[in-house]
Amino acid sequence: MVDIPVNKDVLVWARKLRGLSEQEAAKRLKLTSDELSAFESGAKLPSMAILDRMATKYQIAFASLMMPEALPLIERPADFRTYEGREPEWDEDLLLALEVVNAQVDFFVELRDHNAGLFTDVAPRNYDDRRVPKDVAAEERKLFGLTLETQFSWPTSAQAFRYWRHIIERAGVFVQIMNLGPENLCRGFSIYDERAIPTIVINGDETDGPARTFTLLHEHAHILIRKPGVSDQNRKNSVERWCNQFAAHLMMPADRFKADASAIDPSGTWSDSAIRKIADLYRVSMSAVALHLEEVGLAKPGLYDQKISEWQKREKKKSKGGKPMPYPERQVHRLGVRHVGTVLDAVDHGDLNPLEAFELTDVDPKWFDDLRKEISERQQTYGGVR
Amino acid sequence: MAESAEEVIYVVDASSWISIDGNPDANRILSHLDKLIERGRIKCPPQALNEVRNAYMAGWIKARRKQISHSLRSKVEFLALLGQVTFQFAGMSGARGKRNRADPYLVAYSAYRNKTENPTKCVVVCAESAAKRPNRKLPTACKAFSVEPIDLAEMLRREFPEESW
Repeated sequence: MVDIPVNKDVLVWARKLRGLSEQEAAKRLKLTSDELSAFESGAKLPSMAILDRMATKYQIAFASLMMPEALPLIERPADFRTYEGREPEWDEDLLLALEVVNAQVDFFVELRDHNAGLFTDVAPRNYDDRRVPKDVAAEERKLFGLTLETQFSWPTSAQAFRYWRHIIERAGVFVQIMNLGPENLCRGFSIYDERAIPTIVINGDETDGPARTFTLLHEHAHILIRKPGVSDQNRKNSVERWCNQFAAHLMMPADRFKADASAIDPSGTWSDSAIRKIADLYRVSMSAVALHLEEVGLAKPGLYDQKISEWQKREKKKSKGGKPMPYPERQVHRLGVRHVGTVLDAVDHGDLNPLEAFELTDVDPKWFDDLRKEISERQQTYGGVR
Repeated sequence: MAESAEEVIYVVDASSWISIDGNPDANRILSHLDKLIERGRIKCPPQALNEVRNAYMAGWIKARRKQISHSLRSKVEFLALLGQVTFQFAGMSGARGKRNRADPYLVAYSAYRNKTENPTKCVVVCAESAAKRPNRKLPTACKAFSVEPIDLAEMLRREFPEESW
């Protein structure tokens, strides 16, 4: 078997790019740690079969392993997560998603340099995080032109997520849903840097609408205060706390919320069924309600932690209810109307060829008409975004 | 068919293949491509053929895949070139991504054969110009490795000059 003269530093780079330890990588490659070390130190050259396995197991293009030098590792975004004394965890899915989204942002920057008209001029507003989140949330809500009557009229919490998503996309932000690894390690992340393509990525799928809505608005807060990064929405980090409060006040303006909550449970005991009723009214998650009850002073501190602990114990396996979506619809779901709409416009203007559009959507060009239809239907229902 | 002293091999990218479907002249183009394929004048690394997802063209290519597809993965020098193209054009190659993109293979394939075979001259046939977003474009990478990039119409004009294209 022929040994391939690769640069040992590239092998180390590829492994680190995906956040894999030597031990984890060796296990995946079905090698001993010593064998992998030998390749990574240059003591031994890998065969083609080993390199193919590395490409597959590290989820990286084979050609990248042949590079004469390693590329710089992308700087990881600010990490607002709380580890309770544990080592920070960068799940492979999260790192891969960061790579994918950063590459998309780079692509969009090139596209914008070539044809600025494809991108709207709207930029997310900028707030000082020394301001009270409640006031900022009220300002944003006013700018969105969203009344509580409208919010209460949204048929389901899953659809409420779509309405909120369209509102945020209309504010100039790309919103995607991707697998970012275990949800307890990462709820979502936001990107907003000198490239000026604001992007929010939410972990998971859209089956759990209310929780996604909170994450969406929490990440939007990160962008508004220009402190984007990776979140788990803990309350110990001051930035996370600010973003949580912003999200809760945006979805549940305090004065009206207090009146509604007190009317539903005048005793203030906050049983699960009372919390459920409030959550259903505002089309939000029960955990968001518990958090907000505490924040606005209707419940004693500790309600949120107590409820979360109880609910987690009872947590059942996730319902995947409903029919599976057709693929083009699913991709609009994942990538968002702003993303897919921008790509299709670029195709129509001759700024992207079908292969590039495939790269950016993972949808075969033969399905582009279905994408257009899906976007059009969503914009008719939930409002335009571009 | 035009003849010349050096044997020109056309290395066709996926976009060019896809662009044939829907072209009002598709039948004529394909019958001329068949002539070139029979003479071994059209070659592609398998990665480029795998990117042709257009049903009609994918079917057409499948019937001729043995004649067109040519992998150089067993050549160490080719692999080194593949790595250089990927490194220099990391965006085009998706160097940090998980998908195997064909563009670096097309450039490295042509550069390798141009370097090691005489009088073979590989020319990359691609569907786009470098005018738009040049850093990401195949023609820019081709030029950096001294490979000529042309479009499909130009290839047909060169090979079948007696016809209008």
